[in-house]
Amino acid sequence: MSITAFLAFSQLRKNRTRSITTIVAIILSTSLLTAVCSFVVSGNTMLVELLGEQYGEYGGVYFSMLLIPAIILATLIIAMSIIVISNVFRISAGERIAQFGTLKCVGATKKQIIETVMYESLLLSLIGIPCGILLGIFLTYLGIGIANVFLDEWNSLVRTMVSEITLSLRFVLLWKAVLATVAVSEVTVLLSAYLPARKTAKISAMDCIRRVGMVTVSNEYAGRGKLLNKHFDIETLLAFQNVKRNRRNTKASVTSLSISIILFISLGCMSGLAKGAEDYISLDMKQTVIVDYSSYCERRDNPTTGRREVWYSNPMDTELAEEIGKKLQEYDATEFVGVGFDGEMYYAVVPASYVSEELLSVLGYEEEQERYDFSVDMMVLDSVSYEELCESAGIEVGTAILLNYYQYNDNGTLKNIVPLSESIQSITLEKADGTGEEIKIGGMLSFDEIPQELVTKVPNPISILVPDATLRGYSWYSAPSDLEGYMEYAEMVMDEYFPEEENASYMESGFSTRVFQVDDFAKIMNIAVIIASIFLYSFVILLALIGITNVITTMTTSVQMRSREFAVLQSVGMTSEAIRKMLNIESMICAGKAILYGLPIGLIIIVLLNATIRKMFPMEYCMPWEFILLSIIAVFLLIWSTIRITARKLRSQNVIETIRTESA
Amino acid sequence: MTVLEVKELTKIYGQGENAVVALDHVSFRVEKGEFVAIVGASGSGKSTLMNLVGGIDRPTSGSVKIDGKEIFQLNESELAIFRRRNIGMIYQFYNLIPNLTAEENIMLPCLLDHRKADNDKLSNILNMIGLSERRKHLPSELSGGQQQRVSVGRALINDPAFILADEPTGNLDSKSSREIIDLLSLANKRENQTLIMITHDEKIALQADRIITISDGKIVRDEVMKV
Repeated sequence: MSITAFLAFSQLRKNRTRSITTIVAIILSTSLLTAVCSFVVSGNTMLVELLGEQYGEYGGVYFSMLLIPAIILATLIIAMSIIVISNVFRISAGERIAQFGTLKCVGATKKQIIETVMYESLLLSLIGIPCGILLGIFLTYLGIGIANVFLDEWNSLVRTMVSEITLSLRFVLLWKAVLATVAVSEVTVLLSAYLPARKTAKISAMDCIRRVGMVTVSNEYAGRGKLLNKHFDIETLLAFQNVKRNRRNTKASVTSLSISIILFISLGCMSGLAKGAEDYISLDMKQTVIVDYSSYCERRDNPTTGRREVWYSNPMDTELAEEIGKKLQEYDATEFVGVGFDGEMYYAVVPASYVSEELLSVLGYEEEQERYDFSVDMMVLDSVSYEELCESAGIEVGTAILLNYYQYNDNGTLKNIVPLSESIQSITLEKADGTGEEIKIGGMLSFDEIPQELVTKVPNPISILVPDATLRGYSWYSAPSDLEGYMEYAEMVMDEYFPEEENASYMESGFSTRVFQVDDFAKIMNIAVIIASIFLYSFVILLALIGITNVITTMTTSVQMRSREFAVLQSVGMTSEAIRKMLNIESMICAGKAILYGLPIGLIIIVLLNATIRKMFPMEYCMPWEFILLSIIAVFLLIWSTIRITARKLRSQNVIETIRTESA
Repeated sequence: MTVLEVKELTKIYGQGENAVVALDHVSFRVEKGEFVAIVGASGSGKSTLMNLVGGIDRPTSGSVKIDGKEIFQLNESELAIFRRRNIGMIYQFYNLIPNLTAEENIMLPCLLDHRKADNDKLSNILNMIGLSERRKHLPSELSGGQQQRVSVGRALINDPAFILADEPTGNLDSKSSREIIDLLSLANKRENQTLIMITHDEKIALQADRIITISDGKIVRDEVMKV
């Protein structure tokens, strides 16, 4: 073994705690990289099985959906690792500065000095990286197992909702991927060591011997304000000065803790928002089961009018819908209601005098027009429900009812406005080709009077309920007492009316039928949120652990390096209580700094996240107070306990002995 | 034969108003086999001189020739390699590597050169410094005097052009001091080893063949003691 390797090895043995924490950091970062890499591989395999090579038509989209998060995560891991690991080597090199001086004096070259530090990192990574790979593979295996438990449930839900899609992650071990991870990890570690090594090697032999240049606890006088002098006792003063002198040492800890805080509270915000989205998409109704029919459609721009035109291959008329509804009701199904819906076929042409200004400003019409074209939500109800509604609202049966509401998402708040004036008597409905008919409006319902099943989340400006029409889709809602029995029965009824070929893909027969529970949408979302949360939380926690290894190394080293200083303080009569108080204050300042940097950035991210999500969905502002509080407490606790544990070790040492040995 | 030739060596620390002239146009020569003591009060510039002659610091102006080679024309790596082959350094605080054994510390200049020291040479040195029995001990297991003897051994291992000793006895009791000086004298007499020693101890200086006295960065006296 060459002398440089030997020196590196003995340095590692000498500082066992630090070597171990560094190995832990390397293991963690390698395992995280392995996990990210393996998930990309497994995800890729899943998509290839599902969509074929190149992922079919939208291959690029899927690929970037897989790769972009992976790159972001990997960047975070590598950045955190470099901050943490290079700090360890900086400290380690700083400690040996006098040794380097001696080596230089007896003729070691710059390259040899760098070599000793690099050997150190090589030895550490020799243990850390293989362990990390194994841990990473284990974590992936575990993660995939957990994901599949949820995916099974997800699959069965999706199957009833859309079609035969089976998502299942398979554990795929690709040697290429493992090798890539090894390479990336090794480069990360070597780079982390090389940066401080080069810096140390640059210090002249003279300065090394004099222990200046890279001394980890600087001896310069750290100035302090008058305010401090006046109002605080000596312990606080010393603590403030120590933190100031120690700035370079604590920088990495403060940075890594800040990053952890930022990630943690952003994640808190994200899961809060996901919960909000889940609440938003869940339907609030008495019924529990939806049977649903939808025709295949094609869209194009009409060549003459330029309007968006749709064509339905198998639209549903009121008569058939009535018949199916009757058939479904033969099974014990209460709260039955059938709703037909079409949001694309018709345009309403409304004279300007009937259109409310609110609607125009919401839709962003700037120029005044004589008449306005609006997209229309055209709806029908089953005859019983329709007649009931007419009766209760005092509207003549057989006429069209204007559902006079429009709701939209105003940056997170759901707003409701009245789109048309109550004086409107009739409405002209046109198709994309310009042909149209005038419809007499028999009555009008304001938002509060409209039955829940007729309210859509994202409505068109005009909603009209007509007695009968031929529409794209139809849904039958009900609350059967025997849920499963009814669903089975409903499937049978639908199969009977709309026989589909075995294994036909979605819409291949020109239509699709579904039988599902009302809260299935929310459940699907919920499972997706759970899977994402499990992965993201594990990721953030493991990343935070890397940061924590750094805090431990830095804090213990800086306290150890000051052991002589403590001894001097004790020898001039500072009690151990006073020293403890000083250390407590120091830890508070460090923790405060981490929070001071991390929290504002985290809050900015929270504001941005909220703004982005609330632009899309109306939901409450999400401020993850519990996460903020938790991260603050965790940071204080961590720094405080680390300093205290190290300080306890110091207390057992002999004062005079320490002063003597350290001065030599 | 001239081993060391110092010409107009000047070192100024700091700049402008803070500038301190540590060495002021110092010139002298040392011949092969000489035992030179450099004495002076603290702050006189003798340590600066030693660091420059040893090639671990660079002068503001002037030159140092060792065995005819102008050392400050070498770049840093070349100088480091030159140092380990041609100069033996001894410090007041031993400066041993704590995690290497006595033997390894002695061999350090060779190890840095990626070569094994001649075994005979090594046992010769160990015998000479009287540490054959303790060759496997770590510095922390040795007394101050023994540690300093190890660093003498380290200085001798490569048959350097000269040995540069900076207050080699400054940290030792009188008995150990005498042992170290005897050891260095022995090397000087027996191996014709050139020896340059910085000290402020007049009794020790008197052992030398020649005493150079420095004050305020200048040579104020250069006297040959023995012929």
